[in-house]
Amino acid sequence: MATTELQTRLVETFHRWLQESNHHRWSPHHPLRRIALEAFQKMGFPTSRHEDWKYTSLAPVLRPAYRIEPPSPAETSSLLSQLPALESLPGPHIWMLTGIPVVASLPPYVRLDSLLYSDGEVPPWLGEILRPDAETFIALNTAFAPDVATLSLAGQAKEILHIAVVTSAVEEPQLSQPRLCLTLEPEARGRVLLSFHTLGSYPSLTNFVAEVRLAPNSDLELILWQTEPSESFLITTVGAELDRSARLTVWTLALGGALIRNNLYIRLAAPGAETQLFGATMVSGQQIVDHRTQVEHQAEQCLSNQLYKSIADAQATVTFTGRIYVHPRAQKTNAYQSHRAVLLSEKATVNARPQLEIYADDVRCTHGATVGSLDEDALFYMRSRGIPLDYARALLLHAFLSEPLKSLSDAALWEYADILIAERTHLQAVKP
Amino acid sequence: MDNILIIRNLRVAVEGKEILHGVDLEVRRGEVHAIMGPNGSGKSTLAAVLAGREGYDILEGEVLYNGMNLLEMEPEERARAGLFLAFQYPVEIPGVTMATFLRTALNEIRKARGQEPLDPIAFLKIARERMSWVGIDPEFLQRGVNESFSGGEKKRNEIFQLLLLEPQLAILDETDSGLDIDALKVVASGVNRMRSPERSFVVITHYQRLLNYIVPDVVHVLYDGRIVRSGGKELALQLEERGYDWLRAEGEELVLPSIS
Ligand SMILES: Nc1ncnc2c1ncn2[C@@H]1O[C@H](COP(=O)(O)OP(=O)(O)OP(=O)(O)O)[C@@H](O)[C@H]1O
Ligand SMILES: [Mg+2]
Repeated sequence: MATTELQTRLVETFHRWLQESNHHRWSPHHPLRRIALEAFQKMGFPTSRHEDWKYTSLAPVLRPAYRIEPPSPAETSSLLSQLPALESLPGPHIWMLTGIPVVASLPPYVRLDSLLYSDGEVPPWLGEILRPDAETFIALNTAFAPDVATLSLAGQAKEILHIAVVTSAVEEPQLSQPRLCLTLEPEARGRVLLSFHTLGSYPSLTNFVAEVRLAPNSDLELILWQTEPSESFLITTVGAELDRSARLTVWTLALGGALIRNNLYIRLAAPGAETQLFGATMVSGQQIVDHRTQVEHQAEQCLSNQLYKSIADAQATVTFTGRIYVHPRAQKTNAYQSHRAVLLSEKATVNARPQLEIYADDVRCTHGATVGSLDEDALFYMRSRGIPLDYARALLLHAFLSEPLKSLSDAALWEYADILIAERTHLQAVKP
Repeated sequence: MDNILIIRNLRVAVEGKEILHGVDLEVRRGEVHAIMGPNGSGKSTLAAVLAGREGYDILEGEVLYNGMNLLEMEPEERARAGLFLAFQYPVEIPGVTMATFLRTALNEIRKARGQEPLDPIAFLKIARERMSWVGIDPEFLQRGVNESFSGGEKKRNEIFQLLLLEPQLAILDETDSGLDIDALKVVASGVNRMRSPERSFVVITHYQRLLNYIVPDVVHVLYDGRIVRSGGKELALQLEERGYDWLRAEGEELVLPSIS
């Protein structure tokens, strides 16, 4: 590991903050932040020799001279007048503006604490689900996040809670480190949409981290909406711990951005917990999308199911690494994983790595990874009915990619996802 | 010009192996031709080449469809020009609804015929009507194309498409196989409903039974990549009785001299 310029600047900045700041709740003096900085210094940025970054080079991500400072209060309020419209999505209810949470309107079943602007407490479990020493970008976010938005959902929410994560790079390259803690109270049911956006044309790196705690019998649907065409870099890490009979479903729609890395760490910590992970990815040009999932079966009778589908065109790359870890005590485990990819060009790349570690005996586990091209028989069947080749192709791509999102419970969101996939697969453009 | 289809000395290879060794066939407008022949004799290969499937090497010969050089046309151009193939093994296309698939197909073909495209409502009306002719539930329009259809449903679906797209030349590749007797009658009545002086059929089948319902004008025997015998509908009865073996000697005698 070579120390990069960015790393040096980050460490210097942190030390300067230590001198400038007083001991408020979430100051750089907070023990967790200091531990995180040390962990970051120790680990540094991973190179491609690092097993987890074998297929995705961070070199272009680390190159820009990002501004590390979060926006000042004045900058945040001026940002409020430049927000994207996001008309086809519900809300937004909460903005995370280059790491600073700003409430637009909160549904009654949600409680939000911000450490900077309200009298929030640092949640005692911060850094427990995602320990700072576990991974560089977790360490970095823990040390540098300007605020921690802590959300608690109780009751049976009907509407979607939309959190729009915006990074502004209007005047210079910007590093943004939003941090979220989300709790579902026992029996609560909630749906959270996390959409990712950038403003401005300078490079930006958003390093988003969320820790999610699901109490017994709670049910969370989480949607990661990464659809904006942009030249930005996005790294997300979501760590979730599921208590008895809790359910977590995550849908990831990854269509835009120069480089996206999504890390999902799911811990099924008590019997009866269930998680479903769905992903739809389409990349072209030089885009890179890298999904890493890790499902840990710690208790009996838990279920995990993963279905990811990807399309790679031009020189783009999709990587899927799916780790399933079944502890010795996690008997009667069901764990399924599938990644299916379609390559549209000879220069596009798909990497799929299932990583299974199973230490219990009574386990049903299947996994599969396929890479193919479009089904020639289906193409011929459609053409033999008069459908033009272009449109037949687009129909197949659209059908292929929208499948993992079919189970989205919100009809409006599903329709919008379907439209975006249709646009991305040129379905409308080639429609006869 | 009375012939809708003329095949002359068609030789076709797949992956370096010659399958059709010189097929000659002429189909006139309004006629129904049956092609029979043992497994592996090249019937589906002939149908696929006519519909324009890729992966076949045309070694020799020509095919004229309505006077056009059929082998130079893309599959979708052939369909728009009124050619239809009912597949022996209809393809499942999960995630593409029957409604999208068929409306696109029908409107493409209508466009080629100089007709206005149908809006979704007009399309549904005509689709529902034709589905009822072959006993398919209209709910199937919302399902993926052939997705999880039973064998019989897939075959009915092929005939439904025939009824919807109203081709000039329909090639039916074993649409009768795997059908119970009621479904067979449904398929046959679908075809008979479409018979007209303007429309021709090439019906590939193993069973004389189908030809009781769809009475052919001409019956051909395709044997080892050649048409070795053509006759009236009584030829089908003879085949039913005697099998194909008695044709072998004749076939070889007849055709061998013509290949180099
Ligand atoms: N793609 C292919 N690759 C290799 N051989 C092929 C291919 N397609 C067809 N063949 C061969 O060509 C021959 C003719 O096949 P075809 O499917 O045309 O027969 P058929 O007359 O339709 O038979 P059936 O009555 O069983 O449907 C067979 O020997 C078959 O194995
Ligand atoms: Mg066949």
